[in-house]
Amino acid sequence: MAQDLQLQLHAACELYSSAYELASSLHDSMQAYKCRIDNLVASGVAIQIADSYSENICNRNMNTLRQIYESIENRELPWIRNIISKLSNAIDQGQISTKAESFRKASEKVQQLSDRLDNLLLMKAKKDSDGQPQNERQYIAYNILNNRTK
Amino acid sequence: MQDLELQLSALEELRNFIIQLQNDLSERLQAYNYRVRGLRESGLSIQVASTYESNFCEANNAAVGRLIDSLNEADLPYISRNIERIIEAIESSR
Repeated sequence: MAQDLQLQLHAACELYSSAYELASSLHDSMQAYKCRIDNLVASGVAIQIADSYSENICNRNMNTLRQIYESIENRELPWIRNIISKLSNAIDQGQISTKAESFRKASEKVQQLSDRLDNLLLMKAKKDSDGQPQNERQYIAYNILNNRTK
Repeated sequence: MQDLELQLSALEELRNFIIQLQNDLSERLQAYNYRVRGLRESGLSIQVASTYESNFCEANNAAVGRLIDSLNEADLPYISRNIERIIEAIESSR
């Protein structure tokens, strides 16, 4: 599940990158096109031809380019950012749950080991029941055993 | 005469620039589509991919397609017409 979310997040970032690069390349094209048209007269084209081209054709193309660019910038990229944000939050929540589960399992394991150790000590204390306990833990086990047998 | 040849040269350069711009836009759109198509295989959920394709990808393709068509149907014919006129003017002045 977490791995699936990570994959989705990676793919969503790729999608963002694709859309951003398209917008960026269109912006570059728009600038290059505009620059070219602005310099038509300086490059030798007659003013009448350059003006007519600029007013009737170039402006329309520039508007189309601008619309695409602004649509990506204002609608598309925020939409993808929202997807990325949701996936990131879901992954963070998942990691918190995973950490809590790991902690619970680790606590269980410690309890099991502790119980097992107590049993081993009880068995040893039973064997040495006529002897003296060797350390504090063994002393506790020794007392438990004595209490049980009483 | 020299002025006409300079205009001819400038318009031919502009025509080449527009053809190059068309090719660039077409290549960028292809690269974008290729990347977007590959995202489902990379793990993007079907729901997100479908929404993106219908809400944004198709619109981007249509808009860039319109732009390429406009360069082909408005810019290039206009430039070519003026190139022809200038060539005729140069020839008639000789």
